[in-house]
Amino acid sequence: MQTNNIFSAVRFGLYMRKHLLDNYRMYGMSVIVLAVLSLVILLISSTDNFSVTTSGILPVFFIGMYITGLIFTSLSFRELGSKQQGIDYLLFPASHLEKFVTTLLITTIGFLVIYHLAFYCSYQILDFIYYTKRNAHIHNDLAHYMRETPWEYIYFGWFAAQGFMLLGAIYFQRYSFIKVIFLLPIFLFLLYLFNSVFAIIFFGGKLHAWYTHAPFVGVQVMTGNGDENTIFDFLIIPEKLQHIFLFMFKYLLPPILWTLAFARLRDKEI
Amino acid sequence: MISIQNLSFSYRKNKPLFEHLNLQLEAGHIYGLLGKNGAGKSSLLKHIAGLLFPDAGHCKVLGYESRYRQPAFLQNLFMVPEEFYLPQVSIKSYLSTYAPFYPLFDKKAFYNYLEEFQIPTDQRLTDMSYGQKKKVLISFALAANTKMLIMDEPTNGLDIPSKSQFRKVIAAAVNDDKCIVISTHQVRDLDNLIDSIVIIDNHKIIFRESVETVTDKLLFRNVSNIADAGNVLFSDSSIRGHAIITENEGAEHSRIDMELLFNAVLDKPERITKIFN
Repeated sequence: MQTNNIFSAVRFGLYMRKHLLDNYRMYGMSVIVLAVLSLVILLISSTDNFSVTTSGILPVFFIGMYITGLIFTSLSFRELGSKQQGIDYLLFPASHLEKFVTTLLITTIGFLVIYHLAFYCSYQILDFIYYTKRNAHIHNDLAHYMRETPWEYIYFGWFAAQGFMLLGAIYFQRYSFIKVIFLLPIFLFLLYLFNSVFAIIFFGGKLHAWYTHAPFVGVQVMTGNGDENTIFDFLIIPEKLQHIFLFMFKYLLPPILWTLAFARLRDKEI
Repeated sequence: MISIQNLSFSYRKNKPLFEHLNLQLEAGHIYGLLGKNGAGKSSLLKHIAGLLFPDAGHCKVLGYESRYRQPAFLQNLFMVPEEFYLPQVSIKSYLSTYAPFYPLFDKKAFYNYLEEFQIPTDQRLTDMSYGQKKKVLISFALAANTKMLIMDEPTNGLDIPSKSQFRKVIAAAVNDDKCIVISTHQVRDLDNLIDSIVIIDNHKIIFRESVETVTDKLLFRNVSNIADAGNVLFSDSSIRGHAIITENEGAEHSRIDMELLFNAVLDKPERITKIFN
């Protein structure tokens, strides 16, 4: 039978099984550490005589999701940092796509499911402690919070950050978390400077200052000579463009970063 | 089986490791890849396995461009590197996760090889010595029944009895469909095993002949007085006398001394090339 060199569901399943069997100890320990750490942080954040609400816990939840999720992603492809493991990884008879999708699924869906479960367990323990102290459950205002807050953008942001971290993990096999955390602000600052050049070219003397702009959002301009009659106005990009940029941030940025990481994996040499 | 054409490669600019290197290797042979330190033996094996990419030229193995590392290629190639990795699992678990990816894997043969190497099958890989782990990897490599088997310094870390067991199992494993390439410094470990010799030096393949052709054309002898030996191509003196190479003009039979041949090829490449052309 002709071997499928791009993606075979059977081979992918076997590869996923191999990956989980090779790493189950590390993943199991991580889940326990995650649950215990969440509980400790929740207990610390509830020291105010347990006057805690569910929405009050959410900042801890989201910060934890970013920190642990990005550290976990940064550990992907760590095999390539070692010559021996790198040879084993690259010569294993699965396609690059199967290897990459395995890592992607584990660092996105796998991580998010485990994180939510671990945090939920910690929350239940906290609730139990709360109940024994106050004879009542933690006030659950999650439904209200979700109605009032665009919480889904926290997840979109997480996927974008995860994409950057995955790309970094394949470029820098060692200390990738630190390197990405260091390089990402530099990249964003360069983007800002690049945008400054265009803002100056397009708006010239009307630009309030060289730094009064936000990439992909708008620029602050002034009409007048800079005296007390000068009017400052923040010009925002057209609504249609806003939607396009938003769509790109939400749905295109992470896949683009994943594709770049995949291309890098294919070109990896040891 | 392996077709390398015009391969050029360098790790650093202006320091080429290979320049227009050409090499054809066929199935049914055990090739010994010899060369000085830094000549590029391991790098050549990595090119064959698709772990390094040529700067120019092509490296095709079983009809596949090795650099793409396609599954159809990888399931027909096994590499035993000098420094290798085995996961922290039991032999049974290693077998259950790795073997399904090699369509011709022979589980029974794997256990037979382990028995031959006297490896306890209930032991965890992490609890094994370097030599034992290497024997597990070699056993797996042979049981995988891949058409290409490449080994980088496979006898490093093996004790004396294991080296002889190694020769025995490799000699038994080769068949008309299989090509084995062994890179080594320790040529004496591979005596009677290699049937073709490939020597790499100065960015190129400078020698590629079968052992049969070598012994047809060259005579390997030990003499006490070098002056009586006639037209000596190369000699190496020791306390026991002189090991020499001469042209085999009388169609005599001698046993190849690979270390001597290697030194002769590096010392007098023109003379050796002239004899074989």
